[in-house]
Amino acid sequence: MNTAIAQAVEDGDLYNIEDMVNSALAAGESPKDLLDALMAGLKACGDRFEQGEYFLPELMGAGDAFKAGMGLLAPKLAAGDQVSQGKVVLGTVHGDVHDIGKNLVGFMLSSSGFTVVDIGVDVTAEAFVQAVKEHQPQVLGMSALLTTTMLGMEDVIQALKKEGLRGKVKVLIGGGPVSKKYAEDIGADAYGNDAAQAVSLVRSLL
Amino acid sequence: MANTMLTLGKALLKHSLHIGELTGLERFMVSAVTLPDRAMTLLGATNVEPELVDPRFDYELLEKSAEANLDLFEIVRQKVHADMVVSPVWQGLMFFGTAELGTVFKVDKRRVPYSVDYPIKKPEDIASIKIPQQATGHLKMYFDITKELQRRHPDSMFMLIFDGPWDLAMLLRGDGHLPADMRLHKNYTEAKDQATRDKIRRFGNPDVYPAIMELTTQVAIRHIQLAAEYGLSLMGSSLVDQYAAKPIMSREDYFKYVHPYRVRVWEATGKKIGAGYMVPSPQESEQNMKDPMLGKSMGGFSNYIYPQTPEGLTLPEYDRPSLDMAKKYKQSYSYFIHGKYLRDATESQLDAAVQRICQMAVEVRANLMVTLASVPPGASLEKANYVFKLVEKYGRY
Repeated sequence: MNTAIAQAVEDGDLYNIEDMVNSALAAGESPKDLLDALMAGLKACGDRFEQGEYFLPELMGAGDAFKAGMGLLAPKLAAGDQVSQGKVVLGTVHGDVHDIGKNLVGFMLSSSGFTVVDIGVDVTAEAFVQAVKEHQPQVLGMSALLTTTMLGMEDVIQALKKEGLRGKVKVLIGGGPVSKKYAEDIGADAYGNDAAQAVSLVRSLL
Repeated sequence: MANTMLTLGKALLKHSLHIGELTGLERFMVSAVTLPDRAMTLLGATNVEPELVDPRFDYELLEKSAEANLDLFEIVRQKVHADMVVSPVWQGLMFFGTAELGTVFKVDKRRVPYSVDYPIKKPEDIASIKIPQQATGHLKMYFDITKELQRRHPDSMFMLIFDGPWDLAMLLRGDGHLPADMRLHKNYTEAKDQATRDKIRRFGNPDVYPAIMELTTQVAIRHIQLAAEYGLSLMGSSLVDQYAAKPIMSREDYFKYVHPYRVRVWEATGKKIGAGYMVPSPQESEQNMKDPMLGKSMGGFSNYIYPQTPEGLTLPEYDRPSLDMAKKYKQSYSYFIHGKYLRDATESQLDAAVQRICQMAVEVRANLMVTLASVPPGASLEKANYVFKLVEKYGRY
């Protein structure tokens, strides 16, 4: 594996990653190997976040470096090169525009090889249902920062039941005001106390 | 408020001679000097969801009407039996003054106002934001409400809260951009050579971050000056940069890229404003004590962002060191009962939690202040009062 490229992603070195990937491709390294290096860098960054060594700017930097590298590799990758660990749809519930926590969870999952479909903030129950129909994820993650908006999570679960989708997707909830008891009360499958737990929680649901 | 030193003198005399029960304010004042009769209780009124108090009040009304905020505050003050009830403005982050500088807030009846659009989209936008010459809009409403309460209740403290440079910048630039601006600036200033710096400039403008922070430093200074010019007492006031903490940024980045701007605000306003820094461990709290500005702030020891159990209680091993250090540095340990715990816990669970922290404080003989991070839907004023009654029961030194 190209450890220099992995290290550049881990360090959030957006400024050199394209040159490094281009040089590696020119030297004959395979796009698949380079993808593995990008993923390894992202994973290392996620691990350092989990250990309390990295913070939001570092995650954003690694994400940007990863995207820049992927921009060059994507057209060259063969079908099947990108093997996903699973698909997760993420969104912040209706009335709530806070997305830092959701973005952190998205980063942690992406860096561990999951396909993340981020449907944004202020997402209605109908839009969550539509996203589950369209993307058919194994896990649906909902986030809320406000004690008032978190109540919308139950609406989403009810809407999934109504559409006959509840048995087809696991529901994970998180955010400051959310608790284990609340998750149990509304019939969610799991509750995350912080973003660092996201990967292990999603794995436990699959 | 009434002559502070006279009130403190009377309170100390009353306390040392055991003449009657201390009032809430007296208890707070005594705690600044020595151990009072019992642990203190405090409620930020704005942390109570209005619908729990009276369904006539909603955020659409409270965003428009100073009178509605005053009325709601008086009801909360009557119904909740905390030593101190403070923070009388139900407007989310609107009252910090950025709504008047271009931040767009969404206001719904049942949701605290929240920011949805930000005025600094490109570097040229920074210069178009002018330092306010007068308090207008929501900032003026905040000042009016506080001034009226300081007039109505001269025997109470109404502490003003001001957003600091980082939090103002988050509201003017947006949380999706400011951390990236800071990272670019950091990478540029810490680059090893000019070639790297030149390369970084191709990816963005590293001067945006310091330009925004310079602007918000001046805005923060001006907001505090405006409050003083408005005739408001700044006693107990604080400069808040709650988003300049972990996990948004590392301690190192805070001290290098945020703290210097905050110090400038603190110094420019006569070092009268407390300026704390939220940390996730008692060890870091102790490090804060070595800083001239942070060490003088109230609430230096607080469990607000300490790690929690899934139920929402601070991890128990964090409490004893915090109390020990609070005693060592002659401060209080501000112990927040988080909203989700207040909402979900049974009375016996609340009893156990409050008994535990109070008994620990009594044993250590450290000042303890128990407060509620929020009283959310699903909780109640009765439950809030239950917590405060428990402190009265278990918190006697």
